[in-house]
Amino acid sequence: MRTLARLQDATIHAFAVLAGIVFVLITLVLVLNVGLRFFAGKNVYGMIDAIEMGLMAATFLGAPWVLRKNAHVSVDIVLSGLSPARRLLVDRLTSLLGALLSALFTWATLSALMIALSRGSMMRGVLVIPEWVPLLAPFIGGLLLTLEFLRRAAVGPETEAHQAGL
Amino acid sequence: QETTLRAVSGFATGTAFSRPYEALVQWINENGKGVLQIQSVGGPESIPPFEVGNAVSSGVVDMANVTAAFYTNVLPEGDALKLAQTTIQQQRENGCYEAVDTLHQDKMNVKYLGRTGDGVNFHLYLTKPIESADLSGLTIRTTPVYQAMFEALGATPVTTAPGDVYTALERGTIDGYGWPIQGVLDLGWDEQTNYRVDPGFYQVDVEILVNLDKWESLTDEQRALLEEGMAWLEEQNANNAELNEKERAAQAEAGIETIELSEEASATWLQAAQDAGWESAMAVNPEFAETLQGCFQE
Amino acid sequence: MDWALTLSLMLGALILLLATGLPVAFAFIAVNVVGAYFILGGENGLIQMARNAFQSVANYSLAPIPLFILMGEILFQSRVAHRAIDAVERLVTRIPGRLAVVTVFGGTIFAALSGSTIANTAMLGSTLMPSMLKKGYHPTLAMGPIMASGAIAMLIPPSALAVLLGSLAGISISQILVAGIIPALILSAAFVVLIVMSALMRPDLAPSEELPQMTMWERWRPFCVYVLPLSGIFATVIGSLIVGIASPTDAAALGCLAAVVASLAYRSLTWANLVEALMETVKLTVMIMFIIAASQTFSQILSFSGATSGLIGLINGWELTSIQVLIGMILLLLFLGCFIDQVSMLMITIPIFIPLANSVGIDLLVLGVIYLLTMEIALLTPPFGLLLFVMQGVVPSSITMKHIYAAVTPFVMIKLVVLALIVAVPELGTWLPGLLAR
Ligand code: NA
Ligand code: NA
Repeated sequence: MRTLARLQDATIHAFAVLAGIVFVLITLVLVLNVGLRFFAGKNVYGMIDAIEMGLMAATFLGAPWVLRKNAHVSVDIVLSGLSPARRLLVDRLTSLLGALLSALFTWATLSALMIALSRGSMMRGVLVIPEWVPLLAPFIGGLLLTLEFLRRAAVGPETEAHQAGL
Repeated sequence: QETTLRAVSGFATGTAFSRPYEALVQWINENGKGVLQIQSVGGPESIPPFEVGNAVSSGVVDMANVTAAFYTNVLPEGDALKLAQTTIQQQRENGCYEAVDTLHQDKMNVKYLGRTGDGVNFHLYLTKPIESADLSGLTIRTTPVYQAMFEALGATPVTTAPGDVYTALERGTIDGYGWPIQGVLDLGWDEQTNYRVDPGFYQVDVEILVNLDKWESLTDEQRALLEEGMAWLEEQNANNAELNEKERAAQAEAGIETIELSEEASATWLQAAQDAGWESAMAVNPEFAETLQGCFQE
Repeated sequence: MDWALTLSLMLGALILLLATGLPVAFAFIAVNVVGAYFILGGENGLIQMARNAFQSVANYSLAPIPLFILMGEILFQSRVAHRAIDAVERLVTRIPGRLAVVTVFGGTIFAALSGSTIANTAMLGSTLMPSMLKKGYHPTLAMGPIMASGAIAMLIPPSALAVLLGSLAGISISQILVAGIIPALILSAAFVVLIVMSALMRPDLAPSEELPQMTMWERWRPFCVYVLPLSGIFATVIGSLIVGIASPTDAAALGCLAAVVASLAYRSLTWANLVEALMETVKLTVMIMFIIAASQTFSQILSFSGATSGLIGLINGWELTSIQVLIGMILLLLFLGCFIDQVSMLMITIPIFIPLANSVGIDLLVLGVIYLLTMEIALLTPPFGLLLFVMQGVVPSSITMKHIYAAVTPFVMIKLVVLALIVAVPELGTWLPGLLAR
């Protein structure tokens, strides 16, 4: 049980780091592209397709960690009037709902992935990628979100709500 | 008993490639009272354009107005439909329609009801002039429709999000883009466009698709009505020549000059289009490409 | 199903779920799952929902969002921004409410370097708040300017929310980024006037201070060292947007590069604060992008069900003038802004407001500026105002939420006046971007 929990922590954190690396790579390739265009009149081949896939993957793979950090923005004005015990109860119930929704989302992306795989669907931009490969990101992200919500329903949120926004 | 089909368009309502579909919806709803009606749920605001093919294939919608370039993930062979040099009426005569329909039914679970866009060609639009069929040194915004051709002519292809094309042209990040003769003014890109290269190449294909399960559940009368409506719509393709002329005049009005390639350069231009197009088609599905070669060319 | 029923069920369920404290993104997913099942149609509808969510974030025009956040975070975590504020502080002398005025100047400068209002507010709060309290400023006069000028980061490029707005609404991102600059400068000027007037009328709010004697060079040196070079970053981002040599995405990437170069030059960049900046960027970006993924399907289902066109048909039937419609939109945005966050405000209203604006003839760029200002005000209006919470996190616990509300109220009033000014004279927003388009 302990090992499983630690494995879950490590996975969630590793994907968050991966999302960070994706953002660094996006920055670097864009700077490289500006340079290439300015000095050589060229463009990085397939850059836009790659950036789009990177943004998508970072979003879904980073989401479980953001949940762990309690940084998915939520509107807690009604809850703030409740006693701490009541709040915890409500949090457990919404976590269960979150788990159910994440599970449904995971099932739907898995179905989309299986269909893409069996059809051999390809995404045809400048780059040609089998469609099931990028669909792995929302599937894995959804699965980890489900587990994280379940963990939260069992043991409560790890930290105080962290207000995130722009 | 009256049935209602839910339909979606891959193009925004009121734009050049949505108008024929809107006319079909109107025709069916007028002539199909008590038999069949179409309820249009809109355009890209309802289903993202590249998901329209998937939606009609899975039955989320019953009917769709969409170009094959939007659903190459489901049916890669669709890319070849732009290579037609014949009209849909000729394709129905010579067996081409049937081949395309069969492929759509087998691989995509949709009935290929027919196509619009006959006689509407694609063009290269530029901010700086060219003299010959040589695009080296030019950065061109491409989509998979003409990427292979422009690359073969020496251009550097880039993909640019539609919303960024205007600024990319303004700032010289791109030197031009491919687009059909119709619709440039819809996008407002004319303000940053100085030249259009003639001749045009390829042929716009906008398909009307019906989910196959839905199609098979319809009565003979309902299917006949849809086919009659489609035949009527395909007759309207004949008006495209006139619409193209109007569009040319409107582009000239908006300050887009025509670059008329010499006879020799035109031949190179069109040959590059055909070669690149058929090469891709052969790579995807040689058997189907050969069938089309037999009936897409006059 | 009748469109009005669909619309009220979807919006009603969404509001109910938001009230339970379920994260915003998952409240959207809940409504979408039900909507996809019943409106798009069964299992295939759910699969389509998942595919749409996937497509909505695989979008190149969203790329500036993480980059704008990252550049601000780098300057914040490496404390380059803090030193810039200290340098500004030395220059402002002999003005009533001196440190509060410094807050406005500093907030406006950092707004041009950061895409996040939270980072801006946190920075002002952590540097200037303690010194103001120590010097005997009344908490009200200390906190108001921090929150009000922290919020300006959204109006002045780089702005992650302006990018999101442009991408969702189909407005040129360059133009919407540039459109916020003049309204932001008007706001800053009005804040300074307000502070000086309050300090003159109530000297007890801001005690006058004995400033140490300094030579001219002692005053200006920190400014030349810690502020002037940052104008390179400013030029890279805002300059290249205005002159038109870079797209917003390129400008954002170059801005990140410039931020790294600047903090390296000050020998302030460590591995640890770079990683910290990056992980904060992941936190904010993923939070926003996940809401986009979850909620774009919401607008697609609304449109698919006919609710969007039904509602627009209804409003068109009232034959209102475009200005009446615009005022209605503003009131609704201000109301929503009291209860929900900025991304949700966009996600709920854009699917209806953009087609409505097109059908009654409201200039989308004007609507864009209105969006920016109302979202900025929403950061500060109770009960749900993100910057109010950030402020609460920074101040000593003796200061209650009531004090915070009281502090921000006069500044919110000013923002409402400027909002009204934009409605009356839309050129304040559209003139500068008009220069771009020629
Ligand atoms: Na900013
Ligand atoms: Na608020």
